Amino acid sequence: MFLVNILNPQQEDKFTSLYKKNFKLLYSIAKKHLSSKEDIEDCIQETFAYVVNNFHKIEHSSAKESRNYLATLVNGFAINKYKKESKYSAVSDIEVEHISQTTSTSFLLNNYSEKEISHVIDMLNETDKTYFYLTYIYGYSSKEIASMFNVKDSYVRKRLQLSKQFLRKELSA
Amino acid sequence: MTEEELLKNACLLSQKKWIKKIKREKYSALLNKNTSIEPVFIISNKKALRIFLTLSILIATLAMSLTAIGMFNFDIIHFSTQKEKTVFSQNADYKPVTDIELNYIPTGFSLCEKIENDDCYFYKYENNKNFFNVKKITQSSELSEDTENYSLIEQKEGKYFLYHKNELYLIIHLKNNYLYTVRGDISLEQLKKIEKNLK
Repeated sequence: MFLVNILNPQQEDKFTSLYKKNFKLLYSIAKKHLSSKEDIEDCIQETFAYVVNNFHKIEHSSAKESRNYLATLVNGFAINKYKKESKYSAVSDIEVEHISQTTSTSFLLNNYSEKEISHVIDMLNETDKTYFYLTYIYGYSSKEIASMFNVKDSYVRKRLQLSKQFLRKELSA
Repeated sequence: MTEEELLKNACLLSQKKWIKKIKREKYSALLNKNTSIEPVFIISNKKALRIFLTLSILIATLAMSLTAIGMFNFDIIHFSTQKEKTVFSQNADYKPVTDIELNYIPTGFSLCEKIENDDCYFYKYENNKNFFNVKKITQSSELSEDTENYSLIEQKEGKYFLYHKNELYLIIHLKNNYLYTVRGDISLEQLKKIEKNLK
């Protein structure tokens, strides 16, 4: 908890209450991807370390928004840790091209309701969902997400592109 | 609405569902195995709580009833053997002592001490050399008898005790719903005969 020293007393209180309120939820999310207790705790520590450095992003958010933000972050960090351990291979360019070719270019998301789109987002895998949430809800750029999860910038862009292609494909089906 | 805004709203909806799903999985169950956090036992279901409370009350009542029944079934026992005395106890309804009948008194003995009340009748007889006393007490009372350095030489079904020390004999007997004691430094045969004819 030495990280708390970076924050002012008001932020420190909010950070402490965030930690206490959300620890169990974050632990369970991380546990879905990681098996060892040490890895899970590392992952949660990483998440809170990131939150301390970017506290301005949630400083004025409601408890619910902050919780969702933390959940998204910890999910990403857990996946990243899992991939590092299992030497997960990056998405290939061929895969992206393949999806691009199979979907129509004239397709518009505006023709569909939020509910329909959200239903398809639910079907995305955990990594893509995390990148999607961070991009569209919290406005992170692919570069920021890449540095956050210690992956290549191009990898994040490709995943986002693939996810959008998947959305279009599913919605038009 | 632009495509970005539409995606943002859709993502918010999806994220909300995602969190709800995690909460539905009762994430505390996942924690119990591998964390040092103490699991919190919460009975959220009101019906389960009601059943739990009813069962607890029933079990407590049953246990108390069984104990009470057990206590009334006790036979005469000496539950505490201290150095100075032995305490005999018998749980029963109160029945006052109204009289004591000695159908056998050895020749030469005369009554020298007499105590009579609802709880106890006590008579002491003496001749020039020896003595014996008889006591009849209500069954619901505790009987404390001096048994220091006495040895128990006979016991029958937890209702009859015969003690001996030097020349002294002591008989404690539960019969006719009363506790009888006979103590004296006369012969054992005589003492047993007194006890046998005691009513």
